[in-house]
Amino acid sequence: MSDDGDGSGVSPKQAVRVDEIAYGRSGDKANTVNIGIIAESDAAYRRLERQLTADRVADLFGELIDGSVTRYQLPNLPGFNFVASEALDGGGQFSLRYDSQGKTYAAAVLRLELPPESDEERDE
Amino acid sequence: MTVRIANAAGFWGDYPDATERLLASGAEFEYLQLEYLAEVTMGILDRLRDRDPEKGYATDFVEYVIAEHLADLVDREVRIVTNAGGLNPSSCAARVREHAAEQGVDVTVATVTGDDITDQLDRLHARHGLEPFEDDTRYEDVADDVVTAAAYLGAFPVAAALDSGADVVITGRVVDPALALGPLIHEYEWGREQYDRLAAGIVAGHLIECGTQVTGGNSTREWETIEYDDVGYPIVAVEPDGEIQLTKPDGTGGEVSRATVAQQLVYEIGDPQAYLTPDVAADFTAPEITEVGGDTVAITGCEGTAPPDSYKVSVHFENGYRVAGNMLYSRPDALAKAKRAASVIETRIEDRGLTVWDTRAEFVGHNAAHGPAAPARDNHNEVLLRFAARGPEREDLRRLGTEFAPLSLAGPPSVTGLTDSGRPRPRPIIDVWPTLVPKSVVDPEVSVDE
Repeated sequence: MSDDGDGSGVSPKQAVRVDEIAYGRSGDKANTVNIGIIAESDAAYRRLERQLTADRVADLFGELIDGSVTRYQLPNLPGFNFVASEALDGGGQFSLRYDSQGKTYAAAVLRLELPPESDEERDE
Repeated sequence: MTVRIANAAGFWGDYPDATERLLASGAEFEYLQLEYLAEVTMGILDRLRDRDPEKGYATDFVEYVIAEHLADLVDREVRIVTNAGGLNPSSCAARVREHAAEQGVDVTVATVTGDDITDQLDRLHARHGLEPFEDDTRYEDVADDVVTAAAYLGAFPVAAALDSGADVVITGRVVDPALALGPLIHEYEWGREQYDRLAAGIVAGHLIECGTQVTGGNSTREWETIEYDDVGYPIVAVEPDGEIQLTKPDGTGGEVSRATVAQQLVYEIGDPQAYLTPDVAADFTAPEITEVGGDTVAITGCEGTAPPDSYKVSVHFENGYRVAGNMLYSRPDALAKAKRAASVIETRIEDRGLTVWDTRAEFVGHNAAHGPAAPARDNHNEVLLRFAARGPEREDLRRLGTEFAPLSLAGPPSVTGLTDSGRPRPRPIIDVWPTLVPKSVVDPEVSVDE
């Protein structure tokens, strides 16, 4: 597999699943869920920065998130923190969901497939 | 000199033998820190205190740490810092003193209180106007149903308790990392404006407060390779200048790596540049994480700025009742059968005129964890129907709890699972309404062996 400077062995010209280039963990604060995603390399971080947007994460969860998703950057890891408001059906005790604390939500993001990127997208 | 702080509880429900394993490992540390108070735990503590006014603290601490290991810990000159006090730190401290007397151990026990502002809420609202923290629910909407309200105190009262010679410090609600920052302030005499060092203490505390979740547990990176038997509980060694090393006892399972530490750094945080505590706003985008070998990771370069002038407060209030039940459906067409069963329950709720606010049918094995984020499929070997509802009337939800078992005779075929538990029973919901109060209205109190 060609590297293309990605550092993770996955070319930007190929589709990649997030868990091939990152790992993460999620948890709750009342009705807010946060999903931390940490890149395996700087190149992976840059690709996630372009493709794993707050909108992409919001779309993935659909009706599970009533509020909005904000993406924060942690270049020191490097990684991201996605914070979704009104995301747990009322949170811990009130929620009717089996996963009332969003503990498994990081796993859902890690299974996302990122499409191949064109050269223009990478140069943006 | 280096201060070493070990953790032996990440929540109330963690391994009861964590302290035993830590002590048996031969690892050396000066402080043992135990964290018991998740948001959902406060509601449970309130129910326990309702039944018995002597309760309302995390009994695991007394039962599995104090009763079994106090003498050993004192012998090793380990001081204990915990938020096991919950809603009733003085009662927890009294139990510790009883056990100490029984074991013939001489200890000084301190409590940190003042976090409980339940009785002041109405007055505070009248004077300051309590604002919602995360949605538009107003204080008036919850005021009549409040059961308890706790301000998240900082680390300086914990340090003050240690300054007065306490061997065991029992707090109510404090920010979780204060259980580590407190000992560091005490040992290194860090000042209130040494924000970078205070931030290092917060980072160290944040990393160990969930116990084994920083030493390999729940790590999504190459989890197949992690040894889950006897995962070692974390130990942080913090230098006077705020440099941190995180490790676990030799010979234990789990893993300490950049990956396990980075995942815990991002756990349950909001804006990473402003992890807010009463003592410092820590910048989680500052620390560098470096592996130094032997299941040890260094965390350096912590930075912080001035803290907010308010305390976060969790107002816990009664908000109706909740019930949930399960039925297992086998192949063929497991999902279709489970869906039909759910629709029967919905119809019965309507026919019987049961009052519910909401219902939710989830299909375990299909969509219970990820909902619409999981791929669609229709060929399951089996599916567990989990049906949950909430509403204002306990009696209506009790009646709803009787709607599961009859489906085994009257509903879709190849169903089982009635012998694990009886009829599902409704439980009161203790909901949480987060808000902020000015620091000036809260008085943290330290009591030493009154």
